Amino acid sequence: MEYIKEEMIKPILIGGVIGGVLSSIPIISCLNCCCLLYVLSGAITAHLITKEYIPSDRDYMISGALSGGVAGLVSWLLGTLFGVIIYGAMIPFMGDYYPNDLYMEMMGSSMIVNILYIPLYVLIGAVFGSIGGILYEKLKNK
Amino acid sequence: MEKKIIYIYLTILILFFIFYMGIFLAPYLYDIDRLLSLLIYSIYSHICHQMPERSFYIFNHKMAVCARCFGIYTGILFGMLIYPIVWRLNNFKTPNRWYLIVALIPMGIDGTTQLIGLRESFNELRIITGFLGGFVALFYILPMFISVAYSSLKDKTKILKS
Repeated sequence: MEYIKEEMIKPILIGGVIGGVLSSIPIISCLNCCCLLYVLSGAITAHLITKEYIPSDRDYMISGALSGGVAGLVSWLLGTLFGVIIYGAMIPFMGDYYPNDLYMEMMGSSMIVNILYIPLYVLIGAVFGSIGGILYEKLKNK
Repeated sequence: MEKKIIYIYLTILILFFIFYMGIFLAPYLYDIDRLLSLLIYSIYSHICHQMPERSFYIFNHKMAVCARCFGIYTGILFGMLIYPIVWRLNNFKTPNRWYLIVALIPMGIDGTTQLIGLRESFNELRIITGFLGGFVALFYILPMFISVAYSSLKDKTKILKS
């Protein structure tokens, strides 16, 4: 925790939320090839922390990683929300193909499996977010 | 050179190699263990669109990532393997940023012109531009990872000794 400075918190949250929200929007999320949007969230965070103080290499990397992790979590949350809405909206139409009980069971089990993906989203976001922080620093400085 | 730096480098290399092998494992397992294969595909789906027309095929099934991503990760792996020879592990300096910018331009142009509908790229170009970007970017990313991990380990050792 000593690696996380107070000045980092707000930039991390801002970068993470922006990256997470963009990752959830259907057409824009195509940019997430190679997790570009997680890299972007790390870069946004790196840019914001340079306005607060002069960060070290470690600060860039850690803030990028945390921001990417937040982006991953936000992306998971919004993706799950959209999934629930879409699944729910399809219930009246799925009765022709599946009994409602079975469909609800399928929806429930896919939700449970989806929860298991949280660490994956966070880990991938953190790795690529830290890369975003590093690349921002390298491109900004000589 | 301190052993810690070598261990950090080897750890990062092994972890990345496992990740890289997964790209081939998913299509390989498709006819052997479908569930495991689909699980691996779903893991990589978080980092890649996996569009069939933009992916290479191996073992009669598409790779877990698209051609561009495959190029990037291959460039990174190749860079990691030759890194100790060309750059020295304890050299935490990074090259001039213009090398990185120039290396990313082809991938940027190829991807952007395609995204806005000006043209359609092809897999061979995707892999080449991806390889160039990944290979060069590694020389900026890896020194930072090693440097931060090494300084964190040094701090912890100091605290434990005091």
